[in-house]
Amino acid sequence: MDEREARFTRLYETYYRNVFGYVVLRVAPQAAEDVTGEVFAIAWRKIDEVPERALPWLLGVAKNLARRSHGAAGHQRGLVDRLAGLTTDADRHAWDAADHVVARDQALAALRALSPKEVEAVTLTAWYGLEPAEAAKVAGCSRTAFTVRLHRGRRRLARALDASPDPATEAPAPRSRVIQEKP
Amino acid sequence: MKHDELDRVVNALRPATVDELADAAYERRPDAALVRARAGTSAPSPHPARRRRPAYALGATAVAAAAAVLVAGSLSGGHGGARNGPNGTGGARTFLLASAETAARQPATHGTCWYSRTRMWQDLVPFKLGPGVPTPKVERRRTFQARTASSTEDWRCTLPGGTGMRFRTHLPLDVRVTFPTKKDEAAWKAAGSPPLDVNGGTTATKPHTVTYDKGSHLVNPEIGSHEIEWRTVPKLPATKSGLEAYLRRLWQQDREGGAHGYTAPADFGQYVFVSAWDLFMAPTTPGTRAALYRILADSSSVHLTGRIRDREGRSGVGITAQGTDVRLVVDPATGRLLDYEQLPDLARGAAGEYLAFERQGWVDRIGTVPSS
Repeated sequence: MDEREARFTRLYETYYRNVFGYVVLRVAPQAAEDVTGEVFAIAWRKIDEVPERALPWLLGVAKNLARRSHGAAGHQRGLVDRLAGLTTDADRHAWDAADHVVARDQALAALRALSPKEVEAVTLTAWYGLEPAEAAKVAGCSRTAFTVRLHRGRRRLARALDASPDPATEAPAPRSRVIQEKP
Repeated sequence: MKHDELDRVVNALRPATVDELADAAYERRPDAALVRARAGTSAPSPHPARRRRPAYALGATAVAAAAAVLVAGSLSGGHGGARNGPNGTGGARTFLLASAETAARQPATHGTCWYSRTRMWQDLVPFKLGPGVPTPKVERRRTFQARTASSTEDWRCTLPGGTGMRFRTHLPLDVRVTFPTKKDEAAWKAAGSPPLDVNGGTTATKPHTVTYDKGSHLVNPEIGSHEIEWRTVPKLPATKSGLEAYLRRLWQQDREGGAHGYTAPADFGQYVFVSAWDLFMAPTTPGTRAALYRILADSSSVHLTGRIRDREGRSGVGITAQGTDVRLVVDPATGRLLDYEQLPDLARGAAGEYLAFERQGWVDRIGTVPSS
């Protein structure tokens, strides 16, 4: 095994789970293994172009393949739908046990309120441990643009979550009044 | 919501099933040698100087080029406008200083509710097959291009005593869908005329009103990672020196690392530009707006994109800053912000965002609309 083959094998073993975890939230689960395999096939063909910190590069390839497989428009909305679809009772129990200030469904609803780019920014940094500069490369934008998206996304998410009813009370909390009105 | 709680919520939203599926897939994964064999021979870089150059660097270049094309297209008629405004930083300085003078002359108003009516457009783009990519699944492809638009009314009212606020939102209003060609419209009909996304719902959503009481955290503007309490917005410094000293202090703190991973850009002008949107949207005083324009005028990274006619048919001047994909459109007659535009990522097929501010102002009662 030469140096390039050894490097590829290290990447493959180290990042397979990360790439699959990213892909499975963007394509149908039954297609996720194929897309993940394609990501690493491309990584091997372009092994000399893969940077030392390879995960952002791999996720960037995965993003492009997932988009090309399923269309760009609405794929982040699909991400939220897939989150909901993959949620199990175990997640709900864990959520309840963690004593969050909002219900899980409300948190998902709040995530839907974000723009696709904001959802991407928030999840890339939170779930994949990427620094903003690395995540910006996955998102395909400048670091400045990314940090703005991240900042606005987190703020909008926080506000949407703040607007959610308190799960501990059936009625709105004191000083909180929500009225659905006709136009 | 505090940042650590937000982190907890976001982290907890990732289903445990993802890791379980990843573990199972990892166990089933083909051997690395098989992946290499199926992929074929790797191609050594023909240019040693470019070894290890990541693909995304090429992508970023393409994005910048695409953005440049779009700006040129917009200015030369993309929005039905003409390129007759002064460009470059010299022109920017002149325009921004003139805008400062204009903003300073606007009357200072006040009330208990800050009203805004905003129109949002969304571009829905069809799937595009690229070279060397897997065959897409037909059922998930969008086969048509469309643009939706809808307006939203917001009231942000301070309540007597304390920091509580009352909010009201009325949306979606005046929903419109346009197709660039009859072929796109026919493809949409062939797909069963599905409802299309608009802000707060779909094209099938009826207008509705939601009123609720919450803290000001929902609407506090932010400068970098710093949240500015709503009640203090009208008290922000109204002189250039005062506002600049204030913003530079926040910038220095953010340079050292702000909340939730935010690190301010090295360029102070760029930092101010990306925060300007929030400050222009909030009920800042004419003096603060004028000071903000004067600070932007000093920045070499802020430049004009030219005079344009926006999607509402209004005449304005576009300003942007290096390193950002955001364009703000300013009304030269009033110094008010007309539009916020995030340029689409054409190279990657991602749509941009476009917001137009149709009306803003103080009112004394929730549900009422300012006269001008």
